[in-house]
Amino acid sequence: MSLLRARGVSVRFGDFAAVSGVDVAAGAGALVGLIGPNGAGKTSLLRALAGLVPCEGVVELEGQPIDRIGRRRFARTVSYLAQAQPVHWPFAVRDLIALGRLPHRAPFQGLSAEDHRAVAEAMAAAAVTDLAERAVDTLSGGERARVLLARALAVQAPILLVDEPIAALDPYHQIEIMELLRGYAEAGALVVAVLHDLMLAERFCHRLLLLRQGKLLADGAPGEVLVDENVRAAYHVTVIHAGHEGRRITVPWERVEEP
Amino acid sequence: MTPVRRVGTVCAVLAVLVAALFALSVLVGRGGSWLPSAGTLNQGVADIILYQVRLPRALLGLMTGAVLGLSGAALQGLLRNPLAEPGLIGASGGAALGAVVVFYFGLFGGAMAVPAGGFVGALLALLVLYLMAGRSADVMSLILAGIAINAFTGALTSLALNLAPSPWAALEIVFWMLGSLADRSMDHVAFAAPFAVGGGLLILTAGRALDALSLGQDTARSLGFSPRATTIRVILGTGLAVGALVSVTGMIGFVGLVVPHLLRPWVGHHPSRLLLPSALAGSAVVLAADILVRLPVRGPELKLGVVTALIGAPFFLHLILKARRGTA
Repeated sequence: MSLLRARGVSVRFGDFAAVSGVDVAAGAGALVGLIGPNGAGKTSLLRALAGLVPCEGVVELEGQPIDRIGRRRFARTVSYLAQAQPVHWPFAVRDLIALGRLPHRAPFQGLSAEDHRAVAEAMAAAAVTDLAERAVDTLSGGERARVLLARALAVQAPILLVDEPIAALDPYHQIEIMELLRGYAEAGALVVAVLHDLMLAERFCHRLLLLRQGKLLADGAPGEVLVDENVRAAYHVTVIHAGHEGRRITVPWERVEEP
Repeated sequence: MTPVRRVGTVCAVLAVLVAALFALSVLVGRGGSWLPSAGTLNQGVADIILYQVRLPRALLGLMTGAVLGLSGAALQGLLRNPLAEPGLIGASGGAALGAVVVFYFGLFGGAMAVPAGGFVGALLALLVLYLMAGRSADVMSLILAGIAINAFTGALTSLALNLAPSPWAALEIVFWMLGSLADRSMDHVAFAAPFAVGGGLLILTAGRALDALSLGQDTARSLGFSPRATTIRVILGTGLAVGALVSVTGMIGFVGLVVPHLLRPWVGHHPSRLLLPSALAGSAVVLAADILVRLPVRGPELKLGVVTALIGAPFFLHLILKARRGTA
């Protein structure tokens, strides 16, 4: 049985269908990249998988429709990191990351020893332990991205859904976060990440889902998905393929006129 | 010190302060006179002063401050806006209008007519807020709806003043709106207490959800909280509690705005950690201001709302300047 499954999922905003009839299933231990051009429906599909937007069709968690799962149980099972995640108050980093433990805490109960351990582990995994006492509004872009990811990791959920976690980061921090996501997946979780960087998606993801105009255009291993025909159809660019250390690298190259 | 322990310490200190100010409020009278001892006055008169004058006043100060501080902290958390204050959602404007309508038309007899009218006004304002913004948890809709309700109730209140049958009626309305705890009875306390306690509890249970909302609505939902349910809880709690108390006391400004800012350096920015300390600090501020207004020996007693604004506004300015220096 799949850990997470979408069956005929469509997301509509009025007459506009952001996602149309997507069928996809994924199991634990994989980093799945959700790719596609701007407006392809990546964020809408991810939000549908996270139960954050009303959709047609069914999203199932271990075979059970998510709208029949209790809110707290679902929150402990699926962790979600929004695109351009706002933080409205200048929390200390440790306090911000501890918000990830909210689904585990009973009302009016403080942080348990297990919560403290989960926060420490998340900070260590995202390499932000040194920032623990800093106010979040004093962090650089890279530090902030790692702290926000640590907040999502602190939930210790078996499913992690992240929306553009490496946008606006320099190459060092992009690679650092992709390594972290792959490591979290290989430790036994399902990670679904919306990505724009095809080279990093190809290098780090176990599987790619390519969306175009709300529909699933291709689904498979990076080498199967990132072929010239698919990339041209989705992004209207050509690609060139290179190799390094025995691995294929796909580089977007030239725009092609839209048909 | 852990954050939870720090909040506990702050609450303990504030509770002692509130208890001391409450005792002072009961003991200190006009011009700073103490409660007469049984030897100097007829026991019956002393009891009347204590139970029918001072105690209701102190209890109303305690409740009003707690509700203003608590709802100010909760609304700042809900709207993710440090400038939010209890008046923003329109319940106080509605309460003022309701009370003014009773003044103006003399609709009912009895001492509780004005509070009853005020509370009906607050409930109507909440209903309008729900119709305008209540179907979503959208912050901007709430703020804009609150502004619109405040503008409209303000205009109608001004209209009542404009058309007041006599200068004395207008003066009575204006004086009531300035906010005061003087000349209130235990009936007023009994009227407001259930709504203050009920509304306050409703708000207190929203603390965790407000923390989660600090990361936006999607993240709050992914952490297991419903933004809509949280919004309804905070708005309804604020509307009932503030509406009932404004109906009894008139407008008392700046407490709900300033108190959470005063406490953030001590307890941090988590809305949940601010709620209880803000309620206690709000009580302390209103009780202290209400003691202050009765100290002058000569002239009319100062209105409580005037004093809280006189102290609150420059203090708020000071906080803003301090924050700007901190970020410069």
